[in-house]
Amino acid sequence: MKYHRMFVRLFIATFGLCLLAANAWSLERLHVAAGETHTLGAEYADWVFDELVLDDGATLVLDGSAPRWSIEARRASIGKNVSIVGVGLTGSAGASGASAEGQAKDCRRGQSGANGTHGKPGGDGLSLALTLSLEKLDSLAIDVRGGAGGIGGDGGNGQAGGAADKCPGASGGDGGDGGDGGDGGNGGNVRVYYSFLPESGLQGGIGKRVSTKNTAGAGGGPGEAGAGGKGAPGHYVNMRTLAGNKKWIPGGEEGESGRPGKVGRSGVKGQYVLERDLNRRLDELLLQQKMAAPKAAATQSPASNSEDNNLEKTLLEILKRLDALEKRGR
Amino acid sequence: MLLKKANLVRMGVAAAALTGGIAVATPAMAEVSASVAVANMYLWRGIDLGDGSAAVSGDLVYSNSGAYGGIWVSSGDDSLGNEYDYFVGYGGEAGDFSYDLSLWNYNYSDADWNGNFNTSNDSTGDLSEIILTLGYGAFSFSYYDNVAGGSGYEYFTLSGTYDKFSATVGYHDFNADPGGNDDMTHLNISYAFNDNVTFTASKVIDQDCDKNDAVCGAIDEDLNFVVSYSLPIEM
Repeated sequence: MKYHRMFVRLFIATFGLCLLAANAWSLERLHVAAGETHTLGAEYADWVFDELVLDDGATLVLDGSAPRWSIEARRASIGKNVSIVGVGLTGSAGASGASAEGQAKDCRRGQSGANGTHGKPGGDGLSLALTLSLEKLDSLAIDVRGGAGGIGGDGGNGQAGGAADKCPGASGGDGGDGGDGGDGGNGGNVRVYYSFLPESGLQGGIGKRVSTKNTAGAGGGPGEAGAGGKGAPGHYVNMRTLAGNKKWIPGGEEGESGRPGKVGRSGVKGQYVLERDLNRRLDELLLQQKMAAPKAAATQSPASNSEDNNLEKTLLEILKRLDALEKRGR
Repeated sequence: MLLKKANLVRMGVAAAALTGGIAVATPAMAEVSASVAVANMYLWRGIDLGDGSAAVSGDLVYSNSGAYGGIWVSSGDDSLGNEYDYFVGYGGEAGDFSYDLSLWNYNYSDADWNGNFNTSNDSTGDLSEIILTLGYGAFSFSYYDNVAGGSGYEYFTLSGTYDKFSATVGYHDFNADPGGNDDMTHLNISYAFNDNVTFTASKVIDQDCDKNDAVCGAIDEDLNFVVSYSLPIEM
């Protein structure tokens, strides 16, 4: 019996450890299967993955609650038509102003309609710094466009002027002003550092394989102006005049229309930088060099160390030039 | 007899003051309004009182929750001079139905006439009239009865309005002596050209006397055209 209990406790502990281990593994390796969509929570906004696998048609959505993202993948395998999405949300529309319904009390001017509220600004596209050591890259689309601004609320209509026999018809109430459209969100900034793993077989630039949408969100449309309320209509009343006992009572004037809202301002387009991770590339080369000649390195004199340093500097310079050439080619 | 017929006409002149009556909706709050008007003639219930002379009028009305009172002033007619009338009343409506009851008191600057009405210079209370109006939608019926300064005269109207047009059929019961003009019926049609200018055509369509019988006190049956300009005064 005692052994049985111990066995159960041991099993539970082992199972828990396995779960923890699995969880830890899942934090360091992310695999989105072909055609599926996975949303990364804000807790991954600054994260290093040991392995990032995005199969063909996979979509990785970045949680908008974190405005800046920095994701590094020590081994990235990206299939065809893969998307990383961090677009800004569309601003919510402004509320329409309440119309003053019906007709005002006798002889009273109609009440004005309420103004519409302004549309909310669109969210900024997420800023993303992506550091990838590529094992495979077919095509990657990064979408961090700014959200459109919300549409302004319409102004409310004015109330009709009140009518009465003993006073001229009252004027209608003025219409409410339309709300301004919300400003568009800024496009997100995208910076992609990449390097190729030795086994990838990849070479040269990847500009044609990576596309970015980081345009600014458009400003929200304006709210329409509220219409002025109708003036009280003119009408006859029984009242003494020089021409009989019918008197024409003038009608009221129509209320003025409100002013329409203004279009929201567009956001600012984000910046996009795609460059090779030279430091990582250099480290890789050095590592390869050391692995290829470990014994030779052990017997090197100070003079040959100096040569190595010179060689590294030269190599770095060459890589920079190569990178510049690649950018020109894009 | 001639005197009586002349009196009949004068009675009509005096009864010019009896025009009026205001059918009102019940205003919810106190309002003061005023207006002035000019017209090419003073047309009283189908009769030209000014013999073609132009006239000027003005009114000042205070109203509060259906009750109202005010003064109406006119350059008057050829016989009695300038006219100023006081009035009080109460009116309201219930759905499409409307009602109004008012009391009018008429005064004249040159009232030296000692006819059937017991009028006197600048006095009040000598010639008064009660007006009851009942309406339904665009139609209304009014009954006028002088309650002081004379007796026996009654006037009835049936009116209808449509947009800027109005039509009124009025019936006078003069309660004349035998051989006099005992009654007359007229038709008024008005058109409000705009908020200020109104055109009115008026025609006697029936009367007790032959239209050419001056002895009987016949009223001129020529068609009368009135153009009036009214200007509301902002308070």
